Amino acid sequence: MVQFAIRMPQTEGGCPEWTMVELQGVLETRDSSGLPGNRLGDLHFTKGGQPILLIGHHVLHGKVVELEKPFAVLVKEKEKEKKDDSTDSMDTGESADTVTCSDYLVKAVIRNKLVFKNRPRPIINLTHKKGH
Amino acid sequence: MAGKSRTLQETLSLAEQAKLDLTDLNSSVQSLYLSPDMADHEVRLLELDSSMVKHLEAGNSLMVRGDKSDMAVVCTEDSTFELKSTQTTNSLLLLPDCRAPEQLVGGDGCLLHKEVYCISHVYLELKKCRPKLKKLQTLLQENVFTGPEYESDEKHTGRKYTTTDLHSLIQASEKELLEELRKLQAVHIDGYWRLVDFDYMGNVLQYIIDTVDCQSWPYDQIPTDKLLGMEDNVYPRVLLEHCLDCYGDRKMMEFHGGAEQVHVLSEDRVCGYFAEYLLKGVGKFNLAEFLQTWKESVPVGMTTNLQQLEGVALIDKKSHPQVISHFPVTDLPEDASDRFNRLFRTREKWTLEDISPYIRDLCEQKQTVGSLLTKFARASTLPDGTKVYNSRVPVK
Repeated sequence: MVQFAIRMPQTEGGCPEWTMVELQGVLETRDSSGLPGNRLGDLHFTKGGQPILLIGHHVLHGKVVELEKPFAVLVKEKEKEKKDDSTDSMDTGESADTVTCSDYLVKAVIRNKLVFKNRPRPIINLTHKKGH
Repeated sequence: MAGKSRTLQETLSLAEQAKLDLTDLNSSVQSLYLSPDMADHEVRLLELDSSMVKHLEAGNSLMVRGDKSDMAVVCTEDSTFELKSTQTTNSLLLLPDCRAPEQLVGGDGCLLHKEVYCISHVYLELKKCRPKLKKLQTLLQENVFTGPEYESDEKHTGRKYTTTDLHSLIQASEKELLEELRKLQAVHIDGYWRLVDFDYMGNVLQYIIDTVDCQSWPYDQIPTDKLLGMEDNVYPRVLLEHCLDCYGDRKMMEFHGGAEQVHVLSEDRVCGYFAEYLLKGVGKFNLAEFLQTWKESVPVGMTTNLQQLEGVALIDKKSHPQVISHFPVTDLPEDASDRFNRLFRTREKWTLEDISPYIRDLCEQKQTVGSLLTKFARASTLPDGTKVYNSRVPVK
């Protein structure tokens, strides 16, 4: 059996809080440059707190949603320092049929998401071409 | 492609072209970029409830236990959850440093560069489930305790398990594992969890009953320390105590000299042992004869009744003469549909009263025997008015 732990590193100020942005469908670039490193768009908020996202020549109106069940962002823990072989355990120790994997750490907790569910509205008077 | 040199002015003029009312917009804008290292940012999203977040925040861990053949489960200290991966066609962008609207108000407008850590289309969900404990019995059967004198013979070379070993092999939380060990009447001897041989346990129980009789102690006030401390005890202390715990309950009694711990022997459990002793390995037993023999076998002063056989033995009222057979719930599969299949293979039609002891332990949270039956069985009424349940699906 495989066994590992999910832990939250105990840091001052607590676990960082991230935000999730949920978009319908898949993001694509116009050219073949791929997504990483590219600019995605501009995130505005109205004075009433509504999020508006401008992506390429699209306007997306969204809303802020508090998640009923928060998400934990998990990352694999980097290789642990080699443990001392002279552990004082009197047990038979790790059984042969158990694989101990590296643990997962909670990098952040997500309690809010910005959801853009509505059909994007095109920006018509776009005078210059955007990357995507 | 505009680089990071993008200005607030540019974003605002784009917003204007998009026909947004600039006066209604917060003056600060967050320009979102996709991290250049997005591909290396391997993360998993796990949906948790708030209580688990608090559990983690307090420095506790969640244990993930998975087998190649089993589904992975996540365990807190007292519960077990199935881990389910859910795909979504939506894109989930993770933004480490997004400013909430209330963090943006006031001051002059500015442009903030924010980096999207990665994009995900999958997240993990947790669903509370019953722990998967059946394997525990099988593991512990590899080396059953039959007495200290036999510990080193060739029948006792099977593997023995510590609590840590069991945690790494059983998909259950700590609390659920310990509960099941108690249910199986396992005893912790020299650091290992062992099942005790049925006959050996009977000998210990008989010895306790004989000693109690000999000392003229009442069955509901056995002085624990006095019994365990007797010099000529023929059984190890740990097993005497274990047997007292299995067939009795601890209680503090006030005596004139102060409080003393006693064990109250449970009539139901002791009588249950004697019934199993008679039924084990016998097959079918004439009910009338069984009841007579059983009554005579239990300690003087104890009374047998059929309820003590719930989940242990099954009575066939339709055969002539009526018969009883050993049918312990502990030998049945733990998966609900497998369990029902086995039950309907044993008997085509069940009354609610008969089947309840064999399915009660299957109930998940908020589930009742009735709702399980609705799911797995079909009800009908016999000509004599008895309501019975039979299988919904063909019995395998």
